[in-house]
Amino acid sequence: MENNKIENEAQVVDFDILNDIILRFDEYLFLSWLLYYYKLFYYSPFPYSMELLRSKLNIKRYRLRTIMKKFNDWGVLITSLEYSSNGTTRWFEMDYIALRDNLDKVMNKESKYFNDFIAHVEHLQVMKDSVNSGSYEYI
Amino acid sequence: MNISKEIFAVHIPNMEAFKMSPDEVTVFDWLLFKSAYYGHSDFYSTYEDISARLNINRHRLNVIVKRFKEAEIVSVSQGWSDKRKVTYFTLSYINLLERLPMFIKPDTEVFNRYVERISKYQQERINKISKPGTDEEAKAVQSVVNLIDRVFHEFNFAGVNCDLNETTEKMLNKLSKSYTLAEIQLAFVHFCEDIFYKRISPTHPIIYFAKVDKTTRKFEVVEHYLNKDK
Repeated sequence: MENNKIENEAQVVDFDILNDIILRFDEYLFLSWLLYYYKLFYYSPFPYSMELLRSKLNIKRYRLRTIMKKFNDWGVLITSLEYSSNGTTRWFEMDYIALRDNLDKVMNKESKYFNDFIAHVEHLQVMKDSVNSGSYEYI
Repeated sequence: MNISKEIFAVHIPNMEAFKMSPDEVTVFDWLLFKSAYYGHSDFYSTYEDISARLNINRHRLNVIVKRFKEAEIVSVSQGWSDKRKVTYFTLSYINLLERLPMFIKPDTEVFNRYVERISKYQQERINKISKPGTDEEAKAVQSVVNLIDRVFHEFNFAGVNCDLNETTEKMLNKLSKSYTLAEIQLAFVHFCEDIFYKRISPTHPIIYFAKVDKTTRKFEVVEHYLNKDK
């Protein structure tokens, strides 16, 4: 496999890993986005608007709904709505255990990156537990 | 891997700086990557392979490549390889640099990094063209280099810059394509005589000798010494 590591951050996709991914690219992009932002918000539910999400990821409205429904059905993505005087706020949350259990639908099981991915998701769960228990040990 | 482990194959902050849909971004990156991997010349693949590799819809890929074709950043042609029908792709780095604001938001750091990366590729492509590519070219350049060595040795120049490097190699490659070895020898010997009798004292003799005049596009110095006796 050619050496195609992301050089100097002037690249977006690592094709080596993408080769082993089974999901459609925009679905995988959404999952990556979710992982990135959920960690950024310290493993707590975070608010997000569909318009902003669409403009950032450039995915069309109905396609985005289909993708979100897929991850919702897996239990990986948990959405909730909050109604207030300001309007409706959408909250996103992730379930790492569900992701780990469904990872064979994301990435090819025989891939050399599969175990790394599993380990990474489990590590994220550990971090999440430490934040939620208030111990902040691993941060 | 340079990307943060959280991201795992897609660099989210960089992706957000793009103006295109995700499928288009991945094809864009793929074309750049392949072009660099195959030495900045054309490369081939089939649409089935690409769509399978990048996990995008086959027909969507057609639309995306067509859009890039219309923007004139890639040129596409059909060909055959090992009884398979393949498509040849050639990226135009110059057009890509011009039209980059169409694809990436111009006021972002990512934009600058891509400009740097593509400019670097363009420079490598230019260098590749001038360097002796084939064996015959390399042999021709080597004969000229041997000739120069011999003549310098005969004239026993002291303190004259006789360095042969990448720049001079490119210039001699061009020279060896325009003149025969005998002509080069004749001109070069006359040239060295002038240096020996201190009629001229160029700082870099080889560069001075093999220079191409920008306006007339000729090897002016070589022509001068070739026609000296006439």
